[in-house]
Amino acid sequence: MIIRNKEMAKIIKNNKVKDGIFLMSIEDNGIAKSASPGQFVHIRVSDTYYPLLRRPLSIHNTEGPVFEILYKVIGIGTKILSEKKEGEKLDAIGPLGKGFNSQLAISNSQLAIIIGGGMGVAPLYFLAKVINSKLKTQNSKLKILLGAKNKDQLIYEKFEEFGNVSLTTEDGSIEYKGLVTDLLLSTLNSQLSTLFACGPIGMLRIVKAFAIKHKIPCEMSLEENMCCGIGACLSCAVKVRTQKSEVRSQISYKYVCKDGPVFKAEEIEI
Amino acid sequence: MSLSVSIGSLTLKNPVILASGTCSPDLQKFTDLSKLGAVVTKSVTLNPRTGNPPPRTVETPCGMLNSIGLENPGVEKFKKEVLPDYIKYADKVICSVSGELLYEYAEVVKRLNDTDISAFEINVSCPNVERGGIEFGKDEKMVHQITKSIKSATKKPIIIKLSPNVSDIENIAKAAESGGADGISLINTLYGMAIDINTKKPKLGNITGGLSGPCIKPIALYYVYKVAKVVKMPVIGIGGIMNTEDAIEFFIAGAAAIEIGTANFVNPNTGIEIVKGLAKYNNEP
Ligand SMILES: Cc1cc2nc3c(=O)[nH]c(=O)nc-3n(C[C@H](O)[C@H](O)[C@H](O)COP(=O)(O)O)c2cc1C
Repeated sequence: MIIRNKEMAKIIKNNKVKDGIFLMSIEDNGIAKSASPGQFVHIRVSDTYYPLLRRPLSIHNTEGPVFEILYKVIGIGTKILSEKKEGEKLDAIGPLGKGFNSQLAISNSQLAIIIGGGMGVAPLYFLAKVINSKLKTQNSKLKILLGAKNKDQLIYEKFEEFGNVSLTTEDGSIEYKGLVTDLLLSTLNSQLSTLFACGPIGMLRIVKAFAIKHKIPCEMSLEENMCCGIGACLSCAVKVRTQKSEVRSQISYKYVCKDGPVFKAEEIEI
Repeated sequence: MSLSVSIGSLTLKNPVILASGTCSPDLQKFTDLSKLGAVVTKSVTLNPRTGNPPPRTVETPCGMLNSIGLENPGVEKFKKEVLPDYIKYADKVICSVSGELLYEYAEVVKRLNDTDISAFEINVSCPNVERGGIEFGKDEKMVHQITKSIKSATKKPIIIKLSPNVSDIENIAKAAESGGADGISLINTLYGMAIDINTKKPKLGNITGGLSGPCIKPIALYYVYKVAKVVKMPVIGIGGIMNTEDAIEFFIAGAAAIEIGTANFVNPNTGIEIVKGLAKYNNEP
């Protein structure tokens, strides 16, 4: 049995890296050593009752006993998080959820494509790092497509060591002007590709349709309002297809916190 | 001093129970369910229920709204696939039962009589379903009738769980008692709503939901106080309990035991911390 130890996580760094976007390094051997790309931590940002619930945050990277989270200040929870100082303790549970199957990138695949929109880059750095280390001994390649509203919101610099990076911004302030999904068709040069995606729901819908049309295996990380983070409350429901017609209802649900956050594109209705 | 408490023929080693819908066997990874008095299962219905469309929960100041919609696999699958894990980890399992039609409650109970469930909690107070749930819990005669029909379907103790969204909770509690209930638990969530001012749409997929968490504690405490004065059976206090001090307030108001809901999401070890806190409080002069 794992009894969580809230005294263990210690904030090492909490720096602003871009406009409203922060990178926090947290020391917690248990979480850092057992995390895999796509998993998340569930953080209690305050001891008071407002905000009350924990905040799920993707694991952005791990280095030895330290893990990182990359987050944008949006509401009261992330605001409080951004004000935390080096040396403070953090109540974090994790690693939680089912992450990416990075093995897909090398088995029966010549090209792994990672596509991220907006803060969707958060879990993708860790994934790119792991895929890159696996690809070193293989013939396949990694291409990374990242997009954001403008260059001040685009986190891409660190990705360059792991593969060929292409960038898009909605205002054209860097590289291509447009949506990151505009790059998909020109990037795909082989049927033996795999896609890994994270980003806004609109982007994921396009990626899903693309993957199904071109018959490419595709995994995507989803978000939904979450409470417990461990599969107890049935809050973070995602619609899935039910195969059997004898089931009374055609719709059924899976849960982002326990069955995901990473799902196969074809299994979910988004 | 012992913390043990009895509800009908059921004796719990301590009065700390985890509330329906807020705990599952998954919690065992983060706490030790066997150290608690009991665990209440997610409400079970005769047929499977898919639940409501997301978003199913939203945080509100010092609380949250939920509209899960009693999603559950139905009694047969529950019995085979879900219940064994509850039984494995918890000292005592109380099974929460709900229904769309009156006869479904007794039917579910009958199908679970041959299991190791220690008691039934009858949910006549869910605000998130179109049929059944709270509609049965609003009316004294209905509560009396439902209690009687379940009582004649099982020898296990039954607890009736009440809603605060009623006009006369004392008489409803008395109707449950005269129908043969062994205990009463309250409160279930309160009707609530939240709206996104940018989209001008409700924040919940189901439009409305049930409010829980620390913001409902004063209301819960009031109802427990009212009901405990008019019934002889044990009252289980529920609503916004986050720590030992909150729990003690409920005991002082007349509760024999307490249930913890939303707090499990904030700290899955809350139950055990309250058991320890109560032992310490009891030993102080
Ligand atoms: C996400 C969620 C799901 C719930 N599901 C059920 C349920 O299935 N059956 C039930 O009787 N009560 C259910 N409840 C109500 C709780 O058991 C409890 O009565 C209520 O939340 C008040 O207690 P609290 O403030 O400690 O959460 C649910 C509450 C929440 C927050």
